[in-house]
Amino acid sequence: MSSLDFDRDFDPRLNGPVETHQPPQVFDPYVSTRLRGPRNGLIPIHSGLTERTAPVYGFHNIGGEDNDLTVQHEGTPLGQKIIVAGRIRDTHGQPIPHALIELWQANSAGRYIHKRDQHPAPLDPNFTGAGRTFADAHGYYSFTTIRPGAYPWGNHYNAWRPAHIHFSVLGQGFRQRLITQMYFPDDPLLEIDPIYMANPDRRVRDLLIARYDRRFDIPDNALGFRFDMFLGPNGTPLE
Amino acid sequence: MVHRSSPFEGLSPREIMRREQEEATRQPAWLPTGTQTVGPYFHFGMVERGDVPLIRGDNLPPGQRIRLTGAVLDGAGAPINDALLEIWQADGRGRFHTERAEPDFDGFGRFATDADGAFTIDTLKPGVSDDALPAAPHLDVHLFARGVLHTLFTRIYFDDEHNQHDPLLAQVPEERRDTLIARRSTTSSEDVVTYHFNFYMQGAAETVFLIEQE
Repeated sequence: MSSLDFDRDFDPRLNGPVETHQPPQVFDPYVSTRLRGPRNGLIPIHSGLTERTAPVYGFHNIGGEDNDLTVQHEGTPLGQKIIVAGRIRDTHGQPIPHALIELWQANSAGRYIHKRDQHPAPLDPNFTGAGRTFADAHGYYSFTTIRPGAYPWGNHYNAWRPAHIHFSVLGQGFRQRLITQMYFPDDPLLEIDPIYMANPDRRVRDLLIARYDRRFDIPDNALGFRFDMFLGPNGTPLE
Repeated sequence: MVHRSSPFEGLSPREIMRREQEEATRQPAWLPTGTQTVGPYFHFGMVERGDVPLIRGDNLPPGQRIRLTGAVLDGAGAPINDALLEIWQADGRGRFHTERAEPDFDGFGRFATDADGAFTIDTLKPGVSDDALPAAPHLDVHLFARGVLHTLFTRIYFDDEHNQHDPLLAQVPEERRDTLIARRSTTSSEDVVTYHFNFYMQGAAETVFLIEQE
């Protein structure tokens, strides 16, 4: 596939529940979805106690350096130091206190430390690229990290992922759950990325882009980006 | 150890509210953040030291030890070797451990599939949980993988239980309920009862995935 026409390739019949503002299960331009996305729609149910409960997440032993990815090794990692901070709320705008937030990312050269990443960009001995933290009582969180690089992947000829940070958020019930990716403003790769473009709603896609926010800068040291996340029952229709 | 304070600390409640109000005019708060694939490289972020086991020590609540084995298979029947299962369940008496961090068993676990797409989940068999209506024993599951764009959610039941009375399973079309039921293996011993369950992402036996309705 040498070029991607998302309007042409998007088949609304393969969409998930109508009006959910979530991506379809199968999005042809993202090749891996073709055999992995369920073809049947999600079955709507009234859930039970299991879905509304969750443990006090204790499986990570989170320390003070787990939300600062620039101080996890002897030296300082290469690349541009950034702050990523924001607030976790539900779809009614209420803060979700003490959510467990995990992130992982490539280094500034666009290389993951993961053993399956074969991109021949250099690893950085001073950067792992994984962090975790709990939101505070008002839903606020903050990470210090390095701006990740873009990297090529095998989806189609000369395919590049725009720079992004993976996020996992565990809220107050098992189903208050989000797996997503955060992107950076003004990235020309966004509009040709089948993963970013898989979401058919431009407003939803826009909210995956962090905003540069000078209030979060550390002057002469790091640039600040704001990234808020809204957790709903997945698939809540837009009112 | 230097703990950097949050950029929000030190603001007055009035200032926080003013800023949030300003925020709300730009961002409709009811729009849920879009889901994205977990990608192939989640392991070092989510299961850093290997799986997050359900059984983490000897201080366990009473219950039957079980082992659930199976695989995650794509639409061509090929194993998915980069899937992650996230489990939440009641204990053997049907109770959810929600009050405090419990090191040995709290009902939460994560299991990455291996090179053959296979997983092995050692846990306690959940009891009948005390919902508005009693729920048959089940595991809640999130399934994440490269090429999976949603946060897929479903339940796994057991074929030696009274599933016909379960209020959630009753909402699943009858002809597809079997895709959510683990089969007890004939090799089960007294100490550990084993079950088998495969996730089929597509095809005639495609696993049912669920979504809450309001």
